[in-house]
Amino acid sequence: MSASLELLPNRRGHVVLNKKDAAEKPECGRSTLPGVISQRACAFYGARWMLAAIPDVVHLVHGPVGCAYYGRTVRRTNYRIFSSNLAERDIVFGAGDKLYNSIREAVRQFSGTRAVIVYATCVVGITGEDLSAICNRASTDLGLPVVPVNCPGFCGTSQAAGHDIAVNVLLEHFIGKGDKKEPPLDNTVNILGEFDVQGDLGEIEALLGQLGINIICTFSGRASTTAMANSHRAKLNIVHCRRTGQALAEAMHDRFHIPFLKVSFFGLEETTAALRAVGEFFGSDKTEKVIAQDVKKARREIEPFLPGLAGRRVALFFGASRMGSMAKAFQELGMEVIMAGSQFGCRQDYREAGDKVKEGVLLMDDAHDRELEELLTKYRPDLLVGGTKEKYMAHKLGVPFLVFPQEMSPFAGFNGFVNLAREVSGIMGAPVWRLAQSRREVSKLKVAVASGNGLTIDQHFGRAEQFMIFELTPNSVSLLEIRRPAGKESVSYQDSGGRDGVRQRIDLLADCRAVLCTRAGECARKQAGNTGLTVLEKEGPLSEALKWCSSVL
Amino acid sequence: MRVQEIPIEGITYDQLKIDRIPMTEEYIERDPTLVRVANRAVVINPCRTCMPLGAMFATMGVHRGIPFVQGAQGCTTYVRYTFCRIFKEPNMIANASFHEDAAVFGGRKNFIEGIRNLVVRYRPDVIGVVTTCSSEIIGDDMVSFIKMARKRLVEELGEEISSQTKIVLINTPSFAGSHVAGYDRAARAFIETLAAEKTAPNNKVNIIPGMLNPGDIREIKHLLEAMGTESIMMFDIAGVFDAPLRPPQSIPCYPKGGTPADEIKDMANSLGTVVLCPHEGGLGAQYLERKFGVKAILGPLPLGVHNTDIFLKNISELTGIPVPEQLLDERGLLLDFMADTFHHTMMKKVAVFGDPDIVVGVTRFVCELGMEPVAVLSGTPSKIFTKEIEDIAREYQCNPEIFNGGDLFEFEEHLKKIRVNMIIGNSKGVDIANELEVPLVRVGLMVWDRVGYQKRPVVGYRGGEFLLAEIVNALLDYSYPDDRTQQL
Repeated sequence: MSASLELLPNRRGHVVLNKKDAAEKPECGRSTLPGVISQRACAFYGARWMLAAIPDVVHLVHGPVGCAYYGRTVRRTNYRIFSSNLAERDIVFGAGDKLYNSIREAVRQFSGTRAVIVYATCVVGITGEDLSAICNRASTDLGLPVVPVNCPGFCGTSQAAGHDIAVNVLLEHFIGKGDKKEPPLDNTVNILGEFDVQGDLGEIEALLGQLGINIICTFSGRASTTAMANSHRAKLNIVHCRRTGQALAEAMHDRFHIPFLKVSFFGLEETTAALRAVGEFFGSDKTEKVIAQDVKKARREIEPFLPGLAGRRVALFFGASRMGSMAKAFQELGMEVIMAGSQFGCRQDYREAGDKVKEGVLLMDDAHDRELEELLTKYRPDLLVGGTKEKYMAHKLGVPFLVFPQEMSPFAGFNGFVNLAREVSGIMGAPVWRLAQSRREVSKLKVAVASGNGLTIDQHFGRAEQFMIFELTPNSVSLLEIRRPAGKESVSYQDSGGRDGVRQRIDLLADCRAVLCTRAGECARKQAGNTGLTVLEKEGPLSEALKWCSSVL
Repeated sequence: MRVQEIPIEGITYDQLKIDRIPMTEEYIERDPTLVRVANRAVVINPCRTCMPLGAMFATMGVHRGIPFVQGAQGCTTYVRYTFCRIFKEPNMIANASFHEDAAVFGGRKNFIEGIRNLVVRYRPDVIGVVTTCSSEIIGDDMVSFIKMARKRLVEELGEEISSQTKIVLINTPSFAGSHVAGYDRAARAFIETLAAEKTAPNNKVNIIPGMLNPGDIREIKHLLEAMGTESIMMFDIAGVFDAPLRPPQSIPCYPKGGTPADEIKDMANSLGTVVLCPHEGGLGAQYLERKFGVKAILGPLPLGVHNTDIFLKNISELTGIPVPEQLLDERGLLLDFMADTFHHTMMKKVAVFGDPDIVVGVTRFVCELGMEPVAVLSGTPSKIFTKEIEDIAREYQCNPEIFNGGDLFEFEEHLKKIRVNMIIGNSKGVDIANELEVPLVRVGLMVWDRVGYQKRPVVGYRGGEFLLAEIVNALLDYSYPDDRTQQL
């Protein structure tokens, strides 16, 4: 089965409808087609994302100054950034000495630094500079680690390549460089693949704190060189993002025999499961008490938002491995997931997402701008979740958008789940979406009337055979046309497919500001309200009703 | 480089083998010989970015124009992300998706397939082919690639459809200049490729605005309209980077704005070309002058009283239309505002940084306000920047430290030594302003931490009023408690 989106031939395998039993999942891990507008980035971007937050080192970008300019802001925070500022002559004659001098000068100016991380860019990758040799020389001369990161932008298929390269750098140069003979520390963990974008780490830390568990190092939301050097002394590694954490966890298991757990702190169920797993590992007896108390509190706090969220349709587009856990979180809010996609997810990510969403849900790999535009216009979700680059496109099409990683408050843990409910309600309920509906923009007022005889309002919205469309101006009323819904049979929310019938009727009246009818079901009224169509219940002669109508609208 | 303590309860630092470093940045002695950028190889916190950004910005300003970046995916993603942060608008930029194979074998295959996919999916009017470091170092022969891509389009889609898309090549190896130069090169490339031979005079004035914000472009249009002058605004980003929300939209969702390719074709017939930012568009105007004899007027950026006067005088000379009452009134309004507020601005020390042309414009304006520029920095090195600032300094008898092509590290170190009342520049200066505890008034392209700034002008007389209000209010916020501002 294929999706009803227009796709380039090479893209068909990347977009599939979910089937529970079938092994059919989107093709993934391929290079992006040239000429399409993909949301992916480069390996340099990935490596910067992973390493940028290490606070006590010099980050030196070996390349033209542009790569450093963008690389300065990672995860909404500014970090001091150094660039070797390659110019034309450096590319022709080589820039080894320039890099060496840059490293020296940077360290001399910032003497508190613990290490230097040197990032390669496309330029260096192509000219073939021997980064390792220069770094080794600098390291010997300066007496502190100078670490090359071989991440030219063109390597791999996406930023994922950069993540992998960065993981290797962390393992080789930073992790476990402390005193190897020191014993493991009781009740300590590392968190792998948590970037603390908007205070998530604080939430997780507080949860673990309730179980009496401390975090030594978080890769790489809170990873100073000393914390990393001591990270091998943790009892357990918690993998939060599989894409960036799994490989690291496996390597640390092999090298330091630290067991690891793959968990997610998004959503009530997942957070509960995560706490249970961690609690069980440490033999904590407080787990159930903490869970019972926090879940109860969270449920009470999300209650006011639930009616507004029930049945609303959400499309999810993430970096990689958050698809499954976030889909579950949205479903816990009573929302319906209609699409789950990612920029560079792997098979395992799609399998996990496929297990957690219904059959027939779209799974999309490396979705392009144009495909997302089609998704938004054809499937009309009530909310799209994704990154900043997609946000404004969705807005232009009138679709509310939630930025993930989050813009305002943390979504992890039980408090985070409440934040999610509150923010999603706010985003979807913002009056701007109602005001932006085309029906409100027209200066003339179009009104639909559910009338079978043309004289009085005599029909129920869901059962009306026809709608008479009137145009009201301050001094005239004119009948424009009569529209008939496709299926005559009665539709209501309870019938199977009833919701589609209501939807179809609302679509039929897409250009009308209001509809007059004897009665309308609650679901129809709500759905109509979401698209800006006002449902007015009234009986009696048409002329009076229309006059009344122009006075209230 | 603040070292964060690792907050682990119950574990002492001895156990973790952490030696506490009481060192914060303030205590680190900088090596004075390595402060100036000219004395070191390393650049710290650069204040300029790469050429492709400027070329992409320019191409976005053409109606139904899509930049196609011949490079790796990050070259596009970083720029798209930057534009999103600044303008809060969607932006479509295609990419050749360079990977190892392209780095080894060259980008021909990617280019031809990419152009084909882009045309099939988007049917753009203009594709601006933006090269990058990688494609330039590999040595991709873009001219012949474009011919091949064109042939492929004709074979597959037919002559009619493929001729609707024009392809403009902009060579922008990042290591050869900054975003300012990228815009400059794009201006020349678009005119070279699209402008047709002279036919009949169109009585219009060409404007190449440079990398200004939508509000500025609208203000320039307002000035021209008041002058009764028709114009060709190449690259008109006003309707692109500030577009209305009016669903339902047809897809692909192109903004209404942008300079139509037909207008660029007509540029040789104009009365003259006025370049607002000489570094951004000068090449294009000079090409028009050389090739078609269209008079080129380079700058100044109409920011402040004097510069706006010159701009209007230039337009008036080109068209023969005198400056109307309405604009003289606007000038009077700005002067009135300056007269009412100069007691706040007089003798205040100010530091300015950003792209060369806007820094020159702002420096003159703050001098007109009676402020004293003490440090000015252009992120992009320029041949004329130092001289222009020196001219202003002589006229207003001040002596600013000039950083031509400097970075924000040396700027910060210098400002720590002297006392300033205010910094004027883009969002990259936030850290410096916080450190020095002085207000930062945002000006320039890279402003992403203020909402609505891009919608309002800083150019023209009305822009001057806005900028003056920003400056005075920032000073008030920092210097007066609220109960003292009840009577100013």
